[in-house]
Amino acid sequence: MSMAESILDPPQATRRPRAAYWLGVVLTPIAFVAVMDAIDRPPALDAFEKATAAQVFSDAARPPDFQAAPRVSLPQYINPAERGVTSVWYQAEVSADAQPGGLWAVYLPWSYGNYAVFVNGEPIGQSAPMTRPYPFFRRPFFYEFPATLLHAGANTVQVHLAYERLTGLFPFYVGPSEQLLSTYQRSYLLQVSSQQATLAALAILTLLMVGLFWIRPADTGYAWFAAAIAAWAAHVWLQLQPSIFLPDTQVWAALPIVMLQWFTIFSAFFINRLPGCGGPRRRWETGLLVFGVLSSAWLMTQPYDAWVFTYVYTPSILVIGASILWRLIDAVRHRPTFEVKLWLLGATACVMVGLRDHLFDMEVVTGGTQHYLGYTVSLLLIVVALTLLSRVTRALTQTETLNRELEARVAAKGAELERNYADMRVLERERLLSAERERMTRDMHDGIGGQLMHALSVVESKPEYQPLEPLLRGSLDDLRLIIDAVDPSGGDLLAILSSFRARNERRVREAGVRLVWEVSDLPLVPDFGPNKALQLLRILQEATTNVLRHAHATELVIRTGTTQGEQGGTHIVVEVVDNGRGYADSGKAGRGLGNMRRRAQMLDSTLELTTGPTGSCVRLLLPTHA
Amino acid sequence: MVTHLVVNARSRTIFIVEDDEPTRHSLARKIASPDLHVAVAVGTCREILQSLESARPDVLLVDLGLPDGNGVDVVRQVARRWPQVLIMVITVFGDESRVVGAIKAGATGYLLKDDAAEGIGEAIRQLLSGGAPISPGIARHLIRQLRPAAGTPASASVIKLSSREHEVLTLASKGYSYSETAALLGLTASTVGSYTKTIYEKLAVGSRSEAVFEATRLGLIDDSPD
Repeated sequence: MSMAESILDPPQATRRPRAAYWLGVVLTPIAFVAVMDAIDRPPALDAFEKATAAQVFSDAARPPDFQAAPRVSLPQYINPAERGVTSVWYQAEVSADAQPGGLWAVYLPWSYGNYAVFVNGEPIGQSAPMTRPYPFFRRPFFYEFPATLLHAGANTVQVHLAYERLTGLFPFYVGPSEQLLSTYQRSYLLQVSSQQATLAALAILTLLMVGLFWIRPADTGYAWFAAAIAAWAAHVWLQLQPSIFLPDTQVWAALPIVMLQWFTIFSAFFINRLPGCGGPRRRWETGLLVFGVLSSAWLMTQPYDAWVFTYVYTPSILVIGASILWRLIDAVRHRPTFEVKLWLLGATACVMVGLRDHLFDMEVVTGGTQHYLGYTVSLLLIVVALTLLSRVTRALTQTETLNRELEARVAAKGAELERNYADMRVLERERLLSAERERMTRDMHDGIGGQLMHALSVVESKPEYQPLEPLLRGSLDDLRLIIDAVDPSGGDLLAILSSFRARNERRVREAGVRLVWEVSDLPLVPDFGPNKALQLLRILQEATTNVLRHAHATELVIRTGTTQGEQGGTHIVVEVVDNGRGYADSGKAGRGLGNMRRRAQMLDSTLELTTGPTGSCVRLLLPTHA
Repeated sequence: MVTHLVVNARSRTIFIVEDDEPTRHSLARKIASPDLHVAVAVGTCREILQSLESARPDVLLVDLGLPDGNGVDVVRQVARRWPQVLIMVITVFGDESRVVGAIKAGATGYLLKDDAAEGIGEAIRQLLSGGAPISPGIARHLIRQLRPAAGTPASASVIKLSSREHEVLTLASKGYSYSETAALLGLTASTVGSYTKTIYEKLAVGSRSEAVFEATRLGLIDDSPD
């Protein structure tokens, strides 16, 4: 699986970066260097600066004789491979008009070896005992001494520098302690405290990235990222760590820059595996690995060669950095994800600051007092690692949310299935009813229906049989009523009422009565099977017959509606209303009413009859709950 | 009667096939009027198909249960060979399963055998003027049939009703008469009738396509190009 399929993939950005982004990519490193230059300024105490010193190469433990010693300007770099000595003495002068008082200090803003400091030949402090192999410090030093060591007139300050590798002495300061202390503290924070904190953060992030890779071994990109952070953490640690842990000081001395190189190589591997960066490139990566191994081996075994270091080795790291930039620019142009954009911004800063450091070493650039790459890379790594981790957290949160939603969805699905099953049972019952009805009607059609029809046709053609006609028609109508009752209405009373209307429309009209249809959609009544449908149809039939026979009406209204029952729940109202003279007194109608009431009871409903000289109303109230 | 005198259109020809003799005579008697002329009234499939070879009626009334075959087959044959002939099924109950089957075969209406003369004449004239009768039961049946079954996409149904046709069908299923439906939809009653007829025709066409589809699926029809 490639990185492109990782769950850690950022959401795909579709928008191409605007000009402002590209401007930001170029300006951010420049702004960064400007800010660093502002923070990392030398003390504004020109009077105390010692920019030149007399120099004597000597292994002596006490200040040697500086008579006839040459004066050199600082910074001065010394390559032990060229000189063949590992110890050098410097002497600078401090002149005082009168006896100074209070506490004074010697401040070395930037070190590159093991130092001991003397004032007028008296030791005031050292970074470590002067025993081989000499530790290698890279940090500011601040040695306070009582002003009583000084006297009016010319005084001397000697610095003893012992080293196993490329070293140098930088301009240093001698002055009243209180005027130098704040500068020292700021420099210490920048060079030591901040780097120690960074180292701790890098160590934790390395572990997290390794853990991430362990959980998702398919995401090889994160393994390379972990390797890159680890190499960088080693680089930072080696810079902070003065002790020499290897018997071969040459190998030890080469390690920081070797780690820097491997950080660059691993970064290239990681970037290749970022989404949109084209994936692993075997030949180029194999070439990088071979180059890395060979050059590391050369650096650790061969004597330091300034020319090779300055014009081959360091530029090669910058070239690898530039190739990373090229990849990222390509990716940002074609697949601009947030992650890739962030990386390009950071990588550009690293490469440009690395270039600035290189030019600073070559003394082309003069701002600031030290390398800035360390701060740039650490900052970038922490920001990006946190971005990655936040994405992991987001993915986890998403998973949790999905899990919760899944549970809800499963529950909903279960309920839906249950409903479907219930629906299916209803459908199945309707299907059975329908099949049964079809069979029944076919039988009736072929049998009793055909026979009744035959009889009716015969009766119609012979005037003497006329009295039989209503009987036969009544039988046919009754059969139809039964057939309609078996129609699976699914509890839809409107369907039953509609059938009733279609069957009786003509009968009503022929009786000279106008049928008014005032219906509305009704809620379904559960468990309203054929038997109940038949009862309802018979009630309607009875009511209609009463109107047609006894009411002398001109209008018959069939009306439906809903109302709230006394004990709650919706009731369906079915009314058969006429504008006749009323028929309650009629004996036959009275019997019919009794029948209707009985049928209404079978429907669990109530039936009311109101009748008077201006018309009657049969009102059926049906509860919709079972 | 006055109405008969003003009918000056040519008399329309009716053929009847109904196996029960008294019923056949009763129907013929009820239909006979100045504008409707029963030319053929027979009792078997064979006889009616024979008569149709020599002359075609305006309206053919078909009973479904015939001694020598199924009335639906007669409907199907006539609808295919002589599409100009309007076909009505005559039934005792007007039950939708039989009527809808005949409509799918090509009938555009149905009659109740025991209807009064006025009712029968009215239904035939409605048919001749481009309408088609429908009952709430038939409308419900059609709505059920046209509703796509659960799980199948709506496009799977061969028959597509316009929204107006659907409205007409829905109102019919709720018991509204043509004139009431027309008033509710702002149409004329005859337009509502013609919508119903279109629905029936679509149903017949749809059922033919379904039959072809089914036959093709079962390998009864070779649909590979020669």
